[in-house]
Amino acid sequence: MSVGCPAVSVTGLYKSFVDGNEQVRVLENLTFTLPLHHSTALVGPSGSGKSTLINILTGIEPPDAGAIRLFGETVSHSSQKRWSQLRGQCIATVFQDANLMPTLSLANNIRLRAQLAGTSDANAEHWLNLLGLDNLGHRFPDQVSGGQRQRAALAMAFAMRPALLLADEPTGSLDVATARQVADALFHHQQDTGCPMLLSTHDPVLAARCDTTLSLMATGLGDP
Amino acid sequence: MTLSGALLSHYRRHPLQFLALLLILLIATALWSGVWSLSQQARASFSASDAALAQRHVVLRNDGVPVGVSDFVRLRRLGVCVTPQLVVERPAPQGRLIGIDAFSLACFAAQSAPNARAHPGVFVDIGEAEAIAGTRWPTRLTLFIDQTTSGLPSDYRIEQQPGTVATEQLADSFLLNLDALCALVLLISALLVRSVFVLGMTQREASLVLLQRHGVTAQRIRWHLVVEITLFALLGGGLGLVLGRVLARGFAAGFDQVLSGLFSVSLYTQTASVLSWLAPLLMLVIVMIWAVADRLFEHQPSRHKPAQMTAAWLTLATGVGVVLLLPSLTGQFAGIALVLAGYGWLTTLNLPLLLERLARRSASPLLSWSWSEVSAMVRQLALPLAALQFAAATVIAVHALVATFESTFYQWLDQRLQGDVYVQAPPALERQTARQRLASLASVSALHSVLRGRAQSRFGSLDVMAIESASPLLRRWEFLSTAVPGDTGVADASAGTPTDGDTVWRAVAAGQVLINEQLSRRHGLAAGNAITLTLGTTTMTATIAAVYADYGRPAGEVVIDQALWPENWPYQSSSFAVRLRSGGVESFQQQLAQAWQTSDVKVRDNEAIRTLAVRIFDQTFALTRAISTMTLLLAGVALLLMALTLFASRSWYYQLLQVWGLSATQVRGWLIRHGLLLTGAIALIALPLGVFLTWVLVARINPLAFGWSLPMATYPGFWLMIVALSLAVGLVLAVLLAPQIALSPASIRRSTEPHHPSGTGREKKAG
Repeated sequence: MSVGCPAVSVTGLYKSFVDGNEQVRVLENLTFTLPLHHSTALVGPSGSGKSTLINILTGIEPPDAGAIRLFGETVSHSSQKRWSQLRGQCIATVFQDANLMPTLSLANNIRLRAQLAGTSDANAEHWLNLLGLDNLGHRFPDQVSGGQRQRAALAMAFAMRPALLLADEPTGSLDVATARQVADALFHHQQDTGCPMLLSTHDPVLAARCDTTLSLMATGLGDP
Repeated sequence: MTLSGALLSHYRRHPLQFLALLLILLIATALWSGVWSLSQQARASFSASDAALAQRHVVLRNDGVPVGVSDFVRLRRLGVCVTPQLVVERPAPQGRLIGIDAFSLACFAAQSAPNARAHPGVFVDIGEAEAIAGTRWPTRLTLFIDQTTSGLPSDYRIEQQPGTVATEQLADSFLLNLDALCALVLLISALLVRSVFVLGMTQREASLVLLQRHGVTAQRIRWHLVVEITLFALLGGGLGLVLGRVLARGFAAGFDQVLSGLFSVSLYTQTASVLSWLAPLLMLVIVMIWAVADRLFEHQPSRHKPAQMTAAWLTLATGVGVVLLLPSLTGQFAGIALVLAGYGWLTTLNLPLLLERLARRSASPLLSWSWSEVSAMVRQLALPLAALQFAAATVIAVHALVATFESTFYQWLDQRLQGDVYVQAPPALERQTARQRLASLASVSALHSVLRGRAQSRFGSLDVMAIESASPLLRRWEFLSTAVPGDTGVADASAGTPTDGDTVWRAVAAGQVLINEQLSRRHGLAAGNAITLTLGTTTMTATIAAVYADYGRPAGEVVIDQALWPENWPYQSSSFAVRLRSGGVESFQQQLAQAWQTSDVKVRDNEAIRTLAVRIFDQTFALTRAISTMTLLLAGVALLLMALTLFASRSWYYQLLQVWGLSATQVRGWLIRHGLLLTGAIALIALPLGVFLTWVLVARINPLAFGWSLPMATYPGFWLMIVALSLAVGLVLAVLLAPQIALSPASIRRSTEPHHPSGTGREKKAG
């Protein structure tokens, strides 16, 4: 990975799905860059391809066409092994729900994520305290609230010290107050570490807190 | 959309669950009803046989020629009350047919006559039987006579019907064993059906609550669910019944050989009545509703772990207590059922706890996840795993029993079959004359004469075998226990340690007697005790020199020296074991026919007897082995089906590891390890249960059922096979589940939606 290159650079990205007999184009000729140290809001109506884009950027879904560069490295045609390395060590992903192993305590979830990222100095308690989850490390995911679970998911993501943070509607299932706490945690981390972040959301207030906005239309459009 | 439609739509959404339920019901019913059908046929056959042999005395010609129609006609013309019975030996599935003569039966007391009406299809008119037999099947004519009949011409004699040893107890035990296996299959099926149904109920919980919110009463929903499980039981069970009949037909030939060999009873094929179809179906429906009753009627079992643990220990302890203290077969089987339930319950409670402890102690978070994930799988698959455990333990026990019995029985045969050939003494020739002529043959190297009769004792009627204790053909007998001074010591009969016996034979020659293990166990007689026997008019009291093993018959037997046989006491049979010096069996037979001046010389060679005995016992245990193996197969298939269904709620966590950077290959590796750990652990935990079951079979059930015990033996090689087989099931499980852990956009969308069942599923379980 090259220093000084944009975190993400996407050029002419195409993606379509087959729905019955119909070919549905989700992303069409999408081109954008995510600068280093910036937060970017990914907005658009349901079905506009926000989750698809995040899946493509994590190598879970291949694009039909187009080039993707992460920190200067062309990864569009990388092997699954390379994508696993990128997901394990560079890219943190936070989903709307089910980010934790239900059979592990919150602290062990954080340690597991750090272990997979190869971060040997993971101090689970530190990250839990940072996210206001003091003394909850021994609890299991089903023993804490939805907001606490989501903050624990952020702690996991932060503990791996990611190079890129992708969040797919991380506050989508939370009430307003809890959503704000989670968003605060995300933005504080981004500001403290300068970790580039792509935040998919339907919430205009949350989108407005980001440095830039990437808006997808129903057929997939570039940066406005 | 009706309420039923709304409820059944669950299976449209989860077709695999529907198929799993039907398949489990089908296989289980086929297996269970197949064996049930055979045991019912056997019961009918025993009952028919008892009726047929109600008059246990037959007419025989003194010249040794088998009786024929001319003999019947002659005796009837002389006014002797005899009735013929023509047995047509048809192979299975047609089975044996008996032709009787209704007119001649009239001279017998009505109550002692065979009840032809009670067994339609078994008894036919003698003329019809002869026509059916034609030249296709062998026939045997027997003339029954009342023992008290007078006026029998001097060239005929009355003898007790051969092969009428009281086999009721042995037959009942044999059938009880089959019934116990049926019950085990039914229990395992109930566990499996329960696990599928409970999973369905858990998945439908939200729909059921919604229906209630829309005004449908809980009672109405409940009844719909009862109808649903009943319909499933009828559908899967009905198909299973048909398959079961096919299975029963497949087994019929072998089973017929078992019955003929062990009990001299042929398997009668019955016409399947409406009841024979309805009864198993009804039983199945009842068992299925029982298996899911608590979920249907909203009685939640206690989730309080200490209470469950106490209850499980109590169940196990009660089972062990019953096995140790209740000296009845029914008690033993009830004890085994309690032990199985308690052990299975403890396993499913403790194994997850153990795995969680390992998870807590693991330094590596990934290893910690791995242990805790397997723990969650054990909780989810508790019932199918318990079923697999029961099946594995049963297979281990049945194998140990069969293998031990095989080796013990073959050793015993080697000891007993010391002659090259066995011949029945001709009735027309005086016994000593027959012996002298036999001994004078050039081809005879050694011989041993045996007389058989029935003596009276305070224990009732006993078989008596009189031998020539000096015969070299007896030298290889081994004894379970002996009390003769100077011998190699007294071995415990139950331990089965054989002792050397030259001094024993000297003691027998001096007037002591031997008894078989059955007699020893049944009446608490031991070597050194005295026994009083009445042989005709002679009463004698003798010391028991030793106890010998006697497999394959239930009756008590005493062995005496021929010097003790009273001269005026008639014997029931007289035979010779002969060791040949040279020449074949055929030339010996010709020489003997010449020496005895009769054409009716029946010579059975050692190999033929051994082959027959081995075949009978092979057939006896082939059925037991087949049922236990198929039960293991059923449990294995059910576990695979259940895991395929249940794994949907766990697959996301394997996908999440891929999101976090583990490669698909690495995650598949973890899945394989989990599959192997799951089934391997269950097989290992099943081993002690299998050893316990083996002990119950050989040390408790065998003596109660058959009167003899076997040495307790274990077969670690077979254990390894079972563990390997279980590991193979685990591997297949992982291979089948692998597609479910493939990371895809669809699986992410499905799993990361809020309120997905896997979201907080640490404690979710299906059964």
